[in-house]
Amino acid sequence: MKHILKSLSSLKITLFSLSGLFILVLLGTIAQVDYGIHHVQKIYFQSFFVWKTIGSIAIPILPGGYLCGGTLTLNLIAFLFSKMKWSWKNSGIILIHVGLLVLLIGSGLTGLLSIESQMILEEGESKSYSEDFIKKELAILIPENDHTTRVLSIPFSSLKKGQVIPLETEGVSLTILDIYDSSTLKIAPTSNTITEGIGRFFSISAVPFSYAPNQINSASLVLQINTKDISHQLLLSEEIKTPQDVSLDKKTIQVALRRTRYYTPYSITLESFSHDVYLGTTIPKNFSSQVTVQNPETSEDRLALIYMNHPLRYEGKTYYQASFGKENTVSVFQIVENPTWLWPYVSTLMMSLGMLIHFILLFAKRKKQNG
Amino acid sequence: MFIIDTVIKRNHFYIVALCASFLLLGCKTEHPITYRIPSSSHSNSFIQLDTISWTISSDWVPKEASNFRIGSYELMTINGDILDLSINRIPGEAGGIDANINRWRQQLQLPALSHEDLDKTILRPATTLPFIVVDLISQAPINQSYRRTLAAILTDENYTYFIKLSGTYYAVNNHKDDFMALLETIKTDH
Repeated sequence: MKHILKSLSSLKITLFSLSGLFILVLLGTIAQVDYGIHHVQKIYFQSFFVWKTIGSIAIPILPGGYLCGGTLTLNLIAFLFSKMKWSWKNSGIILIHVGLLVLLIGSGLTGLLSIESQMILEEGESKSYSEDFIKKELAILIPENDHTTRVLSIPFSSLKKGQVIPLETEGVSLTILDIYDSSTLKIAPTSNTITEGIGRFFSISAVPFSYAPNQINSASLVLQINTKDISHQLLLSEEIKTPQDVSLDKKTIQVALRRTRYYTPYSITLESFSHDVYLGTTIPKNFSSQVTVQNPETSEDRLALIYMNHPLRYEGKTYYQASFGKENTVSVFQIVENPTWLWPYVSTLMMSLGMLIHFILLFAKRKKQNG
Repeated sequence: MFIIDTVIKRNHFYIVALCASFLLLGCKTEHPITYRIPSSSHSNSFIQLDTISWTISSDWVPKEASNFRIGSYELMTINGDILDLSINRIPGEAGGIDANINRWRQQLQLPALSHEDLDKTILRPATTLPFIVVDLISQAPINQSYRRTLAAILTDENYTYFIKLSGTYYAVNNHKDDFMALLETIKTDH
C-alpha cells in the first residue's frame, strides 16, 4: 500500500496531469471552431482518451479530461496520505488541498452526472418532459392500458445497421435496415420500399454531418418490424414530428425517432411570456416567463416567474430563461440537472478558509520568531 | 520484457494499471431504458362536408372559409413563420391543371413552363387517392426568405380539389409530413 501511495504521489504525475490539462484546453479551444462546444466537450474533456480513427481502427492520441483530472485527483489523495504531515501546523495547507480535491472530484462528477436539456413551451402549453440538445432516441411506445404507456428508449448512438432488437413482450422484433446521422426528406415521386406510415411518401438522402451550432442534423432510419406473418418497413426521421402507428395482432404501438426525452413527475405550464424593451427603443430590457408548476405527488400547484439570472430551481433541476420565438408567444428554457452543483461553493470556501488559517499560523510563527 | 521489468521495478506498475483501468472505463456505451408515462390524447379534428371529408391535427388553427376555399388553416412555427394551408374545391376543371401550377409558379417568381416541362415536375406519391403533387421553391428570397408551396391536385367527375401548403422554405419543409398525412385522410364523394 505504501508503494502504491508513494508511486501515485510522484510529482511527475502532477506535471503530467497539469500539462495534459493545459494541452487539452488549448487544443479543445481551437477544435471548437470546427466542431462546436458540445462535441469538443464530449471528445476532449468528458472522456478518458481523445481518440482518432485511422482507417477503421480507433487509437487514443491524447489523454482525455477524465484521465488527466482523475490522475491529478489520485495524485493529490496519495500526496495527502503519504507525504503530508497531518498536524495543526499544516492544517491550512491540508484544507487547501482537500478543497482542491473537492473541486476536482466535483468537476468529474458534473461531467458524468449532469444533464442539460431544453423545454420549448407555447403560451398555455404544458409539458412534463424536456429534450436533450444532442442525444437522440428510438422510442417505442407500447400502450399498457387506457392510462399508461410503456416507453422503450434506445439511444440512437447505440444503433447499428443490421441490428435486430427483440421486443419479446410483443412477440415482434425490429431490424435496423438503414441509418443516417444527418439526412433530408423529399416527397417521393413514386412509392419507395417503405410499406407503413407517413414515410412511404418520402425519399431519404444523406447530407454531410454539421458541427456548426446553428445547424440541425436530422437523423433518420429505416426500420423493419418483423411479426410472425408479415414485415412492415417504416421510415423514421426527426423531420417527421409525430410518432407513427404500427398495428400488431392485438394492439397498436407507436415508434418515433426524436431527441432523448427526460420525463418529470410534475408538469410546467407557460402562462405568459414577456419581452420588455427600453422605452422608445428595441433594446431588450427583460425576458420573463410566468409558469405554473403542478406536481400531483405533492399536490403542489404554484406560480413561478423565470427571468434572466433568476432561474426556477425545482426537484434538483434548474430552469433558465434561454430563448424565445413565435412573436413572443413561445419561451425556451435551458434545464440543468447537476447533483454536484454545491461542490464548487464548498470547495472555494474550504480553500479560502485554508488560506486564512495558513496565513494566521504563518503570521503567528513570524511574530514569535521576531519577538 | 526489459520495459515490463523496469516498469515493475520502478513501482510504476500501479500507474500503468491505473491507466489501463481508465482505458477500459473509456469504452462507455449507452443502454436502452424503459419507463412509463401517462397515455397522451393528441386530438385531431374531423371535418365532413357534402362531397369531401378530412382529418387535421388540432395544432392547425382554422380560419374563415369561403365558397371555394372550403378549408382554411394557419400554423405559426417556433420561429414566428406563418404557414397557410388551404383546401379548395372548384367545379369542373378549374381552368386546367397547367394553368393553376403556372399561377403558383408565378407567385413564387418562377417562370411559366410548357405542359411537357410541367409534367416532369409533377410527383405522384403513393397516396390512397390519385393526387398529383407539386413542390415549388422560389429561386430567390421573397420578402427576405425563400418561399415554398406544396400543392396537391385531385380531380373527380364534378370538382377539382386543390390542397395547398405555403410558407417559408424551412417552415414548409418541417411540416410536409403534416401535409402528406392530411392527404391520406381526405375522402371524396360521400
